[in-house]
Amino acid sequence: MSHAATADTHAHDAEAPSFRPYGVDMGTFGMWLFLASEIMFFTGLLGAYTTPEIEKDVFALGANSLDWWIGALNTLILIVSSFTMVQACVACEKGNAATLRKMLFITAGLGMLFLCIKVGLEYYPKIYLHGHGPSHSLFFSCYYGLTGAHGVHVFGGVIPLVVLALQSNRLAELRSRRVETLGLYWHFVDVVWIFLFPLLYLAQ
Amino acid sequence: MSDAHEHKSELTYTQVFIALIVLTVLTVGASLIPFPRTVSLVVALGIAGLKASLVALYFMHLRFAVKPIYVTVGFPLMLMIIAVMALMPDVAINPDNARITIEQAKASEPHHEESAEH
Repeated sequence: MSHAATADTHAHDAEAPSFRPYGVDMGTFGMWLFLASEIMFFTGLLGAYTTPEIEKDVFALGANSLDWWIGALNTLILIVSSFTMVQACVACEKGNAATLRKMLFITAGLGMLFLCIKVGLEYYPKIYLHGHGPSHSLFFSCYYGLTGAHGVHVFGGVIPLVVLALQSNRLAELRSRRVETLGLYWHFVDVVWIFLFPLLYLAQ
Repeated sequence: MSDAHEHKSELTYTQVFIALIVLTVLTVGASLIPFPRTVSLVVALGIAGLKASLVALYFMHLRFAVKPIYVTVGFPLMLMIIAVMALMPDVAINPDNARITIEQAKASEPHHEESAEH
């Protein structure tokens, strides 16, 4: 292969130089814009929760029927996953492919564990064993709406985590910012759950 | 990035992680104290706000962010607060319109257990 062809291949492999008006990386800015729209999305759902919240008795009854320890366990799982995500970002900055891959897979695994606990220990028994489906009461309607939307976001994060983990050698070599950009999304998902946990499980 | 700086930032991540775990335990602990419901909610949401700030400032690096990022995030946050506050008059003015008592809520529950007994 000629020198020109090799140089061309390397240019194709490398990420395009970042366009940084006002010192802002465009990938990062794009993710923050997306998160801004996500804030408004969850605001709508939170508003739906706030209005019928005046029916305090019904909501206290609903919150009492949830197992707070499952919510607490899931909170801890997401906090640990946020920490492993940060470790993945550090590994990528250092160009450490092995640690990057490990941390991304652990983060994705914790995300799946969160979903398994949510579906296996909460949704299934609530709906099929206790008859507490979304149509049971306003509380459960809000509960499934909020946690369902959040769960979809968790699953939506797990897929790119696995994809980036499979590309970890290349990402570490390029010190790619993609890992940090995905990290922003993952931490946002964690922040949403940090508010959902006390609102849904502890509002008794 | 220097080794000292790297070490310091990794130490900060670990400290934030431990703080988040401690605050989660505090949230659960505070919920077990029989405060009036409004006080419990304010305490729980206050701790949640602190945890969210730690994640945003340190894990999402918002404390190093530049102005355009603050504006991008700040406006929807402000709109979120306005939107939720805008619902408050409805809650304050018409609290009885949609109020359902515990007895009514229990009466509306499906009678799975009773039908199973029969």
